[in-house]
Amino acid sequence: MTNDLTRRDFSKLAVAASVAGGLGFQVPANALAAADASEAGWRWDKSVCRFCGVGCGVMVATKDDRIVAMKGDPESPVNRGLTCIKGYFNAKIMYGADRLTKPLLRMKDGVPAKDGKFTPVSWEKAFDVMAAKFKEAYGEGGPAAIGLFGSGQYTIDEGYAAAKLWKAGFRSNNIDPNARHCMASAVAGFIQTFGIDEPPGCYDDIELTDAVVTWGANMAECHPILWSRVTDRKLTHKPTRVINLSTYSNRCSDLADLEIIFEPQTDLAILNYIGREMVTREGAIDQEFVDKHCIFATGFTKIGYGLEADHPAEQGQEHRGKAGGHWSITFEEFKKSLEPYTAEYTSELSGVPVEKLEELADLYCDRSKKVVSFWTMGFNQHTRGTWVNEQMYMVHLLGGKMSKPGSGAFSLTGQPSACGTAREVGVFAHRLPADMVVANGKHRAITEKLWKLPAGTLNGKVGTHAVKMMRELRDGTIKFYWSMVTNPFQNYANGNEWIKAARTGDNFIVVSDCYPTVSAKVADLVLPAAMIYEKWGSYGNAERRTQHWRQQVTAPGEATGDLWHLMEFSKRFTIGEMWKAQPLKGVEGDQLPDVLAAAKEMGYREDQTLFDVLFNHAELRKHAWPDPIANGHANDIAEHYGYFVHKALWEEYRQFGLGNGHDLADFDTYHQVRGLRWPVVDGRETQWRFAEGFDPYVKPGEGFNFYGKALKTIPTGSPKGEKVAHTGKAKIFFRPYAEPAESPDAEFDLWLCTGRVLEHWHSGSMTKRVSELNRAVPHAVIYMHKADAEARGLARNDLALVESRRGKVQARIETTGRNRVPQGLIFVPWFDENVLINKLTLDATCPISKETDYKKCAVKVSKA
Amino acid sequence: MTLSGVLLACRPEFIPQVTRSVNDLGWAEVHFTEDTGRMVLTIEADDVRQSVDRLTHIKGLPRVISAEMAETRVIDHEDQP
Repeated sequence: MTNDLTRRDFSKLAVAASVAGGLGFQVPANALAAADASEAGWRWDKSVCRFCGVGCGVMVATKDDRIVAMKGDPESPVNRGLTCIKGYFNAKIMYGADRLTKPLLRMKDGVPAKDGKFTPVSWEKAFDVMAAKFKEAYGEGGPAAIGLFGSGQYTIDEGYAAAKLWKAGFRSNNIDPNARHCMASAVAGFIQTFGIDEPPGCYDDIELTDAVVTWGANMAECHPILWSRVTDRKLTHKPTRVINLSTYSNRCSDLADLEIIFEPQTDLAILNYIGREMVTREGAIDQEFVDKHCIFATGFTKIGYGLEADHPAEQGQEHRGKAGGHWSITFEEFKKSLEPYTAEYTSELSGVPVEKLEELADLYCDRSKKVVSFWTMGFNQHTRGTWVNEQMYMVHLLGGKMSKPGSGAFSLTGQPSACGTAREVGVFAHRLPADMVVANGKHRAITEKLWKLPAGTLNGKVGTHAVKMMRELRDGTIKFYWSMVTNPFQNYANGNEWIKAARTGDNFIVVSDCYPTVSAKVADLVLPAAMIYEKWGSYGNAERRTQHWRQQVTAPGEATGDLWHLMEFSKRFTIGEMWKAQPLKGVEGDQLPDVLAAAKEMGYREDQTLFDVLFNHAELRKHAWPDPIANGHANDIAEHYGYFVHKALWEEYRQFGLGNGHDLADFDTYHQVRGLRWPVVDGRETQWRFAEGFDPYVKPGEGFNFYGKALKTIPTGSPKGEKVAHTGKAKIFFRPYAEPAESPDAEFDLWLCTGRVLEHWHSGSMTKRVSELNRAVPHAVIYMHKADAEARGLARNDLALVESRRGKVQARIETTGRNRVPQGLIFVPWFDENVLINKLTLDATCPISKETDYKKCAVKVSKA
Repeated sequence: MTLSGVLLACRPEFIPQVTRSVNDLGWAEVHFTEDTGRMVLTIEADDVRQSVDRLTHIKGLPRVISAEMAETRVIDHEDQP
């Protein structure tokens, strides 16, 4: 045996022992010793995965300020020691050769210029120019002239600091996250149905259920670890049924007992068909549950498609602008509304055979069966995204299959902290922390108190949502645009318009990023950002689990955390500049009030900076650094500011949720556990919200209490009916089928659906830099039915041109493989910046949630 | 070289058969087994793509219910995780 072979055997034994030990196997002492020896000098620490919303725990090993190994965290209740293929490369994403390490400013002849070339500059220079451009825009148009595009990938403290700076410091609600593109319909569905955001159930449902139904969720590729749990359940508990509903055949179908491929948009009709069956079939409704805990409701139809007013699809949409309005109806009215959705009608509309529809309805109508319905972007990215979310709750609430172990309707998330940051912190144009909203004076007053602001500082006018922000950038209303931890110029639909606006308009674009993404290339100023394990942080996953981690290594060059970007920028503004009267159309007197006198009464001086009053006051600074919880780990930001910034912001932030259904634990606790699902009361997490025995907010004897406070008082019988409060009740909505905003026609004869593949995450800015992942799937391809390809003279691997009314791209044809599309539809992933498929997509949105429909537009394909 | 640790599951009565099938591959080896049918094995590969292909191959072996990666290390490349 050679030394090499010995070393190889030793390595294998070490890896095997490490895995087996973590998974609870009996491992011989010599094997464990081998594992230990192979890791000499390594420091292991718990952390979380950077990618999707599942929230897998990972263990990170570092040596000499470098990550040397990663593994699934065996103690994580989410992934139980496993990770998906992307998860393995959490570390490698940080070591791409083109990491941004210095601020880059477009300069020409030594001065900032839109047509200049990127030039490395100091942080001082970068912030000087950025502040000057900001003040120019703000001076001209006030709080309406600036925009911040945030992220569901912000850490919680970053999102919190961004919202605080923008809303309290700059008094602008023009801040919206990329979660607008992925989760907003889920949010609107939760708020309208339950009065509070986020799923009532949790992942534990998977091991307790009798059936898993996926609706527009390719979990096998996009949430693979949860899918491995579904697989285990299916294989180890034989009666478990799996049903996959999709507009094309995907990997989930490999496990499914029943696959249902439907015509795009007809999920609305299919859900109404199920509802119709439930109200018709004897015993399908859980009458006691419905009577005690639910009401019936409906809302306006013809609510538009979120497009601009002159778009053809908006004509005749008489209730544009009233999309969210809804009122209570009787059960009889609800039942009558469902009457048209017979199996035959639904089958004709959806293309699904009647027998398959019946099999699906049988499952939901069976009161003895526990069912979990999962969905992701197929529902959320939908011009009726809010409606289709509500319809799913309709089905589950009717059957009493909600908030019970093993039963629930569960909206999955695409980003690691779409829930924890974007939603819970309220990094939206209309939100404040803990489900509060800017339009509510009481909510603003609570926030002003916790943020130590003079009364009247916060702006009560809902800001510009993400999609509108781009339109206002194009129209010249927004002149300063800052994007953080996201890639807007690749991820916005109808991308050509926005790229042109950014590159040629009278505006200044700042991008905080770690790699030269499409957005960074479009920017005027690029700020180099630290990545996940280069900073302290926290995320909140799809099952309300909040998880924190420590900094593991140092960021390269001059890259720094986004939190630092925000805090340093805040030093450039005094309250004298920002808290005086500011022009803003649509608020009282068309201006925000001057609050400087009130500020002085609170002890503030006009020359104090936003940094002083928002991020550096005594109460925050009492959280000292160093802190024993660090356990020897560095914290570059805390060291820079001389106090434990992350802990201070966390402790301030969690005050919003205490006693309010959003209770979070203290900072130190999260460093001792593998996350906790909120509400966390008396140190105990909550698995099933709204259910007695699990949720501390539900009193003994209540059984269930849908205690969310939002939108509970609604008109009775019609939009003008008497308003009645329905405290503690969930709403069962009737929502009709509605035509898509754009459908294939004679010229653009195919549906285009976009989405993700297993190996890449979102716009590929990180995963494309992992050579192994990039080699596995180097380019986006056009998944097309073989007959459709042949009809166009195309074959597998041919280069083809895809065109919509908005743009065109070239890519190769794929007629086999993981995604098997029906005739009449193509699927193109959006990770590849060389195939910018969002130049083609339509910026139609759900008019309630304002979330873009990336799943349906009309295109044509020809030989390139 | 990429070295991956994998958790495999099969029904208990097929442990000997699955173990033989895995070990016969030449690039995979079963190290630990439980009576329940869980086993830990390692996969050697030139790179991750090959690791994934090999994992997929193992998933397709007769009597294998599931196989998922749990840990990966890049050996002989100390500058990379």
